[in-house]
Amino acid sequence: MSGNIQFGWGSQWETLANAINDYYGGGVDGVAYQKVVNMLNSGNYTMEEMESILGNIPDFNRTYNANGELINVTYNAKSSLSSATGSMASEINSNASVATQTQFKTVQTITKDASTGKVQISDSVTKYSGGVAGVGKFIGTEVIPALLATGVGIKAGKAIDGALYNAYPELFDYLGMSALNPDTWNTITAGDNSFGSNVFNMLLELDEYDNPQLYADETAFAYMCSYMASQNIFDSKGNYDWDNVKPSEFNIVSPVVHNETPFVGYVNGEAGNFYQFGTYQHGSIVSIEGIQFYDVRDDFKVTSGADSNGNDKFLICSKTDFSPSNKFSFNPLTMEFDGSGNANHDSYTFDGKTVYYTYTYGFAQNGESISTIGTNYDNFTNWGQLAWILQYGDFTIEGLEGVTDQGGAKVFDPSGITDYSDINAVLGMLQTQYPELWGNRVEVSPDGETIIRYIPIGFPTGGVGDQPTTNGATQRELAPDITGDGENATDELIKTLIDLIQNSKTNNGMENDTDTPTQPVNPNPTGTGSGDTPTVIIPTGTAKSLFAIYNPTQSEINNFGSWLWSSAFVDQLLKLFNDPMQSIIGLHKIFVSPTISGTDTIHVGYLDSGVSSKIVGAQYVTVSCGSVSLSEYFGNVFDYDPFTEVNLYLPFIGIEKLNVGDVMRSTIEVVYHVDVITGACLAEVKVTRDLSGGTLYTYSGNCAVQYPTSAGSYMGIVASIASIAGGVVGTIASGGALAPMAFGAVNGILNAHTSVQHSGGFSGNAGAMGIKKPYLIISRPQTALAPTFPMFNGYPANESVVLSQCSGFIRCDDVHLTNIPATSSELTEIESLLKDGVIL
Amino acid sequence: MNIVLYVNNSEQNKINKSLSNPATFSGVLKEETSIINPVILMEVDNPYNYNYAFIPGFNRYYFISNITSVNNKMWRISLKVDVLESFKNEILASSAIISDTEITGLDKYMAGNVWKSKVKDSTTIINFPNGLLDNGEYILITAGG
Repeated sequence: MSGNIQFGWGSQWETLANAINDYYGGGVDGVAYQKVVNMLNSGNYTMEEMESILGNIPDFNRTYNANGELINVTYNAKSSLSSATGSMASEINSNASVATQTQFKTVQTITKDASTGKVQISDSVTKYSGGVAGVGKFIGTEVIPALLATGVGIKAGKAIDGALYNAYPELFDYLGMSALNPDTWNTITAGDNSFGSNVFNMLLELDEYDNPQLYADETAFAYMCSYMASQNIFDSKGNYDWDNVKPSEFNIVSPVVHNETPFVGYVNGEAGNFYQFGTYQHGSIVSIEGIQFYDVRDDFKVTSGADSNGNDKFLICSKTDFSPSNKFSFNPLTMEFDGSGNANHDSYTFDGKTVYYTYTYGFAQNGESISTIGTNYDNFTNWGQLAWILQYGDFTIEGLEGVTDQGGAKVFDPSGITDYSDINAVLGMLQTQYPELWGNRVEVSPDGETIIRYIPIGFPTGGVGDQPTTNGATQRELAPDITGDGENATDELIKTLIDLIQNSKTNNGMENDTDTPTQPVNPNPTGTGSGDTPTVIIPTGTAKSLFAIYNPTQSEINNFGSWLWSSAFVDQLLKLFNDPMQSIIGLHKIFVSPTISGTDTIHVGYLDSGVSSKIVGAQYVTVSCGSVSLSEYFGNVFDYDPFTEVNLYLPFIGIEKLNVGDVMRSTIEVVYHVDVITGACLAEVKVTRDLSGGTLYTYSGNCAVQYPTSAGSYMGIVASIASIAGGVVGTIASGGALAPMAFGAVNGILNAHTSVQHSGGFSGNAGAMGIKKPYLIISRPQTALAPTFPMFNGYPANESVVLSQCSGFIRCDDVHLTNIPATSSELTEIESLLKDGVIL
Repeated sequence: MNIVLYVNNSEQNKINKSLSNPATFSGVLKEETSIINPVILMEVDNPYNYNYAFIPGFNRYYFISNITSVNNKMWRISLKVDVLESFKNEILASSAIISDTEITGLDKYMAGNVWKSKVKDSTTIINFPNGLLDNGEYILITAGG
């Protein structure tokens, strides 16, 4: 096929593809998708031609960054997102559950033939894990900055929770973030500058067990880390002072700041005293505590008094970097600290101030040189902070509210960042500090040339009691702590994230911005229910002295019948009854297992038939038919009345219509209570949603199949079959009582299913011929949404907004126009246009 | 007075329009013309290449609603004020309740006429895991205890 693509031809292809899709089904496994991909992969198209084709097929989406560069190609797959059925009953908030039939964008990757320039498309994304390339199921998604911050924080050793967002609601606003490096920002974001917009492109992987893993563009990851470092998010909270920092062996002489620089501290190991020295002055002799310094070739040199037993330690610190020629020696135990080169001294920076220092522990005697810094002094690691305190004074790191360290995690060390806007440098630091992340990267090409590397970031797992998963020796993917007490996260974090995604974080926190209208408080209560219905208590006790109930087998029935009609029985029974059959009160079958209290021979009055049979011990039996969960399919209005209809088939009762609003997003359980004497049955329909619920529907019927034992009883059976089978006792007034033989009742409902009675009432003898297991009948519409209609008409909404926060098409219901220097006719026209619809 | 002519590539109901090819000209207001629907006499080449204008003196943007040739080089340009673009900053600062939306405030559970479906349905059956007995149990009730 040639590469000249006409716009009209593309539209015809869309129609054909849709027709095939309708017949064979959709999703990445669907025939239509495969046909499109096969056509695109014929090897005849360049990337420009491929884009033209994809642009005419609505299910293929292309994502561009703010610079207009293509960064992602996805396909709207329509397969079920998860293979697990799950239980709606365990959902804390059913409103947050995912519809089973959700359109999700499966990531496509483009490969390009270097010689021909032709491209191919596939959904096989390469994943690197330990050097082995694998293929996973990847979904493209966009997220708000705060969600990326949470995921990045998890991997970088910090837990970020709702307190941070509440304290600094504008912290992850695009305006502040984009200012760090606008050029890089435009390459990694979609450029949508409205508040709370999803601007970062990310991948979501679902493994074979539907475990999720989020991936972020490595540049976005680095950008977020740099921004967070610039906001001191990686700073630990705490006070650093002399008592806090000094080695435990040091006794304080006087914790004063020594502005003299360089400064030398000397500690006598035996006494554990820290002696502080004055400034080295070139050419001078300084004597403190019996130890003298003198100038020898620009060196520090202790002249006398140093301990010769090897236990003395020296800390030398300076506000300016050491000269390469500096050497420090202590005489007569000549020990030289070679101050040249980075390997021999270190630096520590805080609050924009740097201290340079070198130290050692122990030294040899009589002239041996020790030129390296001791790596530890009894495991003391705060030499840098100690040096800083000596030169600049105590310091306190406040940290940010809502940010805590993850236990055992490797926190990102931003101390090497000299310029927060140098994202490439920060990226290099991250690759060095977290090499395992890049070992598990995913690479995607949206155009056959550009390679975008996505690295795994943390995914908040939420839930009480979730255990962290260790990902590497020093990292932990911990559910972020929002309570601040060190416990694992609760679902409040998930709620916080959901609120952020749904743009419920408004301008309420911007107290200093008096020119910006503030949003009113959301007047709508949470959409979750509560409460449970009372427990059913089955009555007990029977008049056992007046009748006996047996549960015989078929052969036992036959044997009993033989005894019943034997001449010996008849002679005796006639003394009690006129008709032998008067001794039989009832014979029927029920379709539950009765409760058995033992076995005995069948008695009629005082006559013993000699036929053994089980004895029924309780009049009522309860049987649970189990439960099923009903999840949304579309994730929108189509899941509810009048579009979707739910009916429930109940054995020995029939098909009953349920209110969709009652049962959607819930777990439905059916329980039968049966009276074994009469066969009367009561079906309870229990609905559980948002961890509460109870019996919402009850239906009655009869599950006994009567057997004629006399001509009279036979006529009675026939008469009962022709009568009403059962009544409906519903707590919701939908449908009402079933009228017998009332087929064909039709109600006209606008844009809805025509209401048709699915069955008459049937029970007893008729019900025995029916299905014995309940089932749900769910009728769903086939949707016909035009892909572009949101642009022209928008979805229904009822939201209070400030117009500057909006993007795309909107139509206003009411608007307050104030402080506009327009004429009255212009104001009228403005209001009219806003109510007709505008594009922002 | 000065007038800047543009080519407007955006929808008429768009705020923050995409304007290109700006060109500044000098024109004369036709007598007794309003600032809402002004008519400007201008000497300009090929005015029909433009469809949008900005008059700094009025601080307003305008759609070009008509272009009439007066003579060889003189044109009468009829304008209609674009209130959305002229007062966009103040409009964007206003609060409103939106009834339809493409992106902001999207809630796919609000009823409305936009939810179109075909007349065809699909049916899904979900069986409960358990049920009643397929074959019943006999219950025999006899007189006497």
